[in-house]
Parts: sequence; C-alpha cells; structure tokens
Amino acid sequence: MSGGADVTLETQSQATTRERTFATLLGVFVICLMCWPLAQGLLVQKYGLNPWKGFAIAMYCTRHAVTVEVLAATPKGLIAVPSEDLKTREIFGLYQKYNEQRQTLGLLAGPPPAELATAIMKRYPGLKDVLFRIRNYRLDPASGRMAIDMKCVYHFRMSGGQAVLFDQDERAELLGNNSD
Amino acid sequence: MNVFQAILQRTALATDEAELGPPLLRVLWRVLLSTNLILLTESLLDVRLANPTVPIDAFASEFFRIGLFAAILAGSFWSRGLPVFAGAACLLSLSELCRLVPSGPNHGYLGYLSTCISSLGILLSRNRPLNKEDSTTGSGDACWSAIYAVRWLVVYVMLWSGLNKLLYATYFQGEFFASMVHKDPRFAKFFTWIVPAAELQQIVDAENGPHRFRSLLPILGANVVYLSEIVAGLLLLFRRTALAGVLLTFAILVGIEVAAVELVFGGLMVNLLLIYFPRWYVHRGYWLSVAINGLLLGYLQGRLFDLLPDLGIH
Repeated sequence: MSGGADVTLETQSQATTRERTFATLLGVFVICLMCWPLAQGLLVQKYGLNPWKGFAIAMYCTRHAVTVEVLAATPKGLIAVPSEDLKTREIFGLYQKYNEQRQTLGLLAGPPPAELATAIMKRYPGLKDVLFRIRNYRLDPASGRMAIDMKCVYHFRMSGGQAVLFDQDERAELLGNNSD
Repeated sequence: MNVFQAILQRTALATDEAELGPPLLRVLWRVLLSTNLILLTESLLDVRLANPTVPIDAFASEFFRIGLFAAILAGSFWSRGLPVFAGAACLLSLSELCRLVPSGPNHGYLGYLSTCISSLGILLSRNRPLNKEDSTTGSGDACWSAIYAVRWLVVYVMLWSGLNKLLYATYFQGEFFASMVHKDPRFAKFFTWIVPAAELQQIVDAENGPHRFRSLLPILGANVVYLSEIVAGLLLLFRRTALAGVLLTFAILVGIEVAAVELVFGGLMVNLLLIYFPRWYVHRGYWLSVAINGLLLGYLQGRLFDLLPDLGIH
C-alpha cells in the first residue's frame, strides 16, 4: 500500500464510526480555524483588540499601542496625575492589571475598575472627579504614521466614599480621520 | 467521505503510506510534548525577567506543570500506558490553551493545539491494531486525520500571515518594516543590508513618521514577504506542489529568524514541517527535532537559572 489515495480508500473501508467522526470534527475545526482571523479582524476594528494576540496570525502585520492616562478634575482644569503617583502599592497593581487587559482586549475590557478610581481619589483628598483617557493607536497605512484608532474617556465621581462611573464616551474606528 | 473529511484530507500527500501513520504520529506527539516544555519554560522565563526580585521558588506551580509534561514525555515511551498519557497530555494542553487566552503568544496556541490534536489521534487509534504483533500500533485512520489537521495548522499560519499583511495594508510601501526600523534596533540592523544609509538614518530619526521606504529594494522586499507567505500556504494545499510549499516555508522561516530571531516559533514550525516527509522523519529525521528542541530547552533552562547569557533569542 503506497500513496495518499490508498490512505483514503482504507478510511472508507476499515475506519470505525469513531474514527470517521474524529475526521469530520477535525474538518469542522479546520473550517472554523480558517475563518477565525476574519472574525478577529472585525473585533480589532470595532473593539480595538490587539491584532497580535488571539491566534489570528496577525503578528508583524501592524503596530498597536494603547495609552491609559489618569486625569484629576481640579478647579484649575484637568491635570494629568504624575505616573510616579500611580506607582504606589495600592494603585499600581490595579492600574497595571487594567492597562494590560486594555492593551489586549480594547473596549471588551470595559471601563476601569471602580476600586482603581477610588484608590486614586483617596490618594488626593478633596478630589471629587477623576477621568481615565484611553487612546488606541495603530499604524495608519495612508499616512505611514501611528494614528489614533479609538479613544475613550471614563469619568468617575466620588459618592459616599466610593468612586462610581458617572459618564463615559467611547469612539472607535477613527483610523484615518485625524480625530483626537 | 463527507465534505469535512474531504477538506481535512486536502493536506494528504502522495508519500503518506498508511502504515507510517501511527509511528509518525507517535514521533510527532513526543516532539510536541518536548515543545510544550519549551513553551512553559519560555513563559516562566518571561515572568521571571519581568519580576527579577521574586525568588525562583515562588514559581512552584509553573515548575509543577513543566514536571507533568516531562513525566508524560517519559511515559510516552511505555506502549501500554499510551492511552493514559495521551489523555493526560490532551487535558493538560487544553488547560494551557485556556491559560493563554487572551494575551498568550501565537506560537503557544500553535504548540498546545498541535499537542491536543495529536494526543486525540493517539487516544482514538489505541484499539485498532495494524498487525497482530503490535497491539498498540493502532490503525492509520485516526493517526492520519490528526496529522492532516496538524498540517492544516502550518497552512493556516503561512496563509493567514500573508493575508493579514495584505488586509492591514502596511507592506505595500514597507510601512510596517519602516516603523519597526524606527522602533527596534534589530530591524534597523537587518535593513542596513538593503536600505541606503541616509534613508535608513532618516527613518530612524523621524519620530512622528511617515514610516515608509523610498528605495525600490526594501519596498520590493516587503511585498515579496506577504506574497511568498500566501503562495507557500496555497502550495501546501496541493499534492503536486506541497514539496515546493515546504521548501518555500523553510526559506521564509530562515528570513524570519534572521530579521526577528523568533527561535521558539521557528523551531516549532520546522518540527511541524518535517512531518511532510513521513518515511524519513520516522526513521532518521526526528533526530533533527530532538536536536532543535534540546538546544532550545537547554538555552531557556540555562537562562532561567542564570547559567547562560542573554543571546537575544525570543
């Protein structure tokens, strides 16, 4: 017995139901797998997922960056919280974890956790509002520059000793619009 | 044969002799089990490098998982225990796959998925002796199905690597490579071979872009990258052209290693490509996989215990 055709013939004549089912399931798996990058591409566009992640084989296809800024609302206006202040033991773990989730999952990571906003507000007594400004950047082929693809602002307000999400603004699919 | 089985068998070759299925799958399975040791060591090393102050004994669960895969690899040489070890390998690989979601590296998914599929192939072929002498050999059917599926993973990687570059449209004027030249000195060093010095310096210095080449050679090179990946993926799907597809894929992997030094990915892909030569791989070729995985595992373990210097391998 030699040749691929022989293998196929044997499959027809001797294979058990279990083996035929296995082959069928693997065939279904192959079809699903081959379609997955298309689905992931749509998720990248709509929700800002990291294209390099999730086994859609889009590594080295584009560049992706996310910035998470923390802004304190003061009588003088919005002031960026210095990154050193975010490196306290209480805040840093929460900030880092959310940052990583956001880098990978984009909008699917949801708003920052209320505990993070609460910890930041407790760090600055008297602060009533804190905002998280998140920007997703992607390599824009039209301009050859890293351009904003998505931007979101989450506004937390102190209420009864606990920060609650007061307002949010999420704008996606901005690549090529020069929008900031 | 239904349509799904026909699609699965798209990756069958003229050289796929039925009796080679079980030994080929067992060799591949053992190679993949050793690849899992590499993947786990690599992820442990990444965590360790990110947290250099944490003592190594804090990573007990990671070492335990490495130990489990090592035990399965050792047990895979005991014929009677094959179903048990195949089942355990399948479950463990599935759990590692779940751990990778959502931010794990793509070669991790490739390695654990391949292990899952080959473990299932071993498990399902256990009661189908090919001859009376060896009751553990199994029939070729489930084994070949698993091997075809693993070959599909190679097609998937090559085809979608190219198609994604086309869809993201960042290779037509070398935008992606130019931006990487600006960001990563490894790429800048690689492109000194094909980009004029003045143009390269301009790209490195341009903080806000535009990131794109002007010279013909790097633009041509960038376009050849995705075209060759798509062509390699398509060639692998036809019996008459599969060998050319394998050779082209090898060439592309060499290019990836020179530019990006992704050795764990490269080693895994080479191991998966070698199953396109079933007779040679079963008899002698597997030693190449043993050498590749041995070197990679040795290096990563050496790095983990601070015995070897950083060679910039990913």
